[in-house]
Amino acid sequence: MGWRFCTLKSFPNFQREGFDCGDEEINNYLKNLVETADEAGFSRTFLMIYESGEAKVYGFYTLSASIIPVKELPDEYRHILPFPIPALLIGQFAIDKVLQGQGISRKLLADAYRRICLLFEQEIIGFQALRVDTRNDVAKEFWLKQGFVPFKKNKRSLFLPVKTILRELEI
Amino acid sequence: METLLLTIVIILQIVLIFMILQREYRLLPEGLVVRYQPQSLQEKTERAQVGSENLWDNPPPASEELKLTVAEFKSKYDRSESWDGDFVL
Repeated sequence: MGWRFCTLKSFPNFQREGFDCGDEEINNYLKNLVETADEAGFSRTFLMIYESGEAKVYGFYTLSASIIPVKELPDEYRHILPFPIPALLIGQFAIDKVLQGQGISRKLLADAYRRICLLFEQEIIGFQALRVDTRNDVAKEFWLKQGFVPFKKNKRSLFLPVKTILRELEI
Repeated sequence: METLLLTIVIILQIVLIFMILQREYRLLPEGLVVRYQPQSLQEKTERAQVGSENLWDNPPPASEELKLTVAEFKSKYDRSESWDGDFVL
C-alpha cells in the first residue's frame, strides 16, 4: 500500500483526532495549532495519508526557515563568512504509534528530503543545511543515525549540510 | 615649555591615530564590533576556514541510514516537479 504526502493546504479536512505519536505536545500541535502556524507563516506542514485518500493522517512534518549561529558550528564547519548558516528547520516530525518501528518514518523523511532538494535545486530559497531541534534522546539518536551533526554548545540541536543529500542523489 | 608640551601632545595623537588604523573592523552576526587580530593570526584563521569551507561543499559521506532514506525517493526524483505538490511513495 502506498502513501501520499501532501500539504496541509491541499488536504485541510484531514482526520486528526485519532493521531497519537506518543508525545502529547506534538499530538496537541497537530490537533490545535497546525493551521494557525501555517497561516501565520511560521511553518509549512506536510501530511502523510494513505494513497487511497483516506482522511486519517498517519504522520506529518513541518518546514521553516532557520539559521545555525556561528558560535554553534563545530570548528571543522566554521565558515569563511562570519555570518550564521542559512538552514531549513524540520520543526515537527512525527508518525503515529501504530506505524512506529516499521521503517515508515523513513518514507516520511524521504518526502521531506525530496522537497528540500527541490527547494535547493530550483533555487527557490538559499540555504546550506538542515536543522532539527530534538526533545529527547530517542529523537536525537534518530537524527544522529541520519548523519546529523550536533551543535557545538546546544547538543539538542543538530544540522546536516544539504549537499550530503544532493550528492547521494547524484550517485 | 608650552611648545614642548604641545609637541608631546601632537606626537601622542599621531601614535594614537596610528594604533587605531592598525585595528581591523569585522562584521559579526551579533552586530558591528571591532576586533583586533595580529596579521599573522588572521592569515592562519583564514587558511583554516578555507579548509573547513570544503566541508560544506564536500561534506563527509552519507550515513547508511541516510542512504536508505534517499534510496526511497531517488528513482522518482524529478527536478522539474513542484516542491509543494502531492507525492506518492
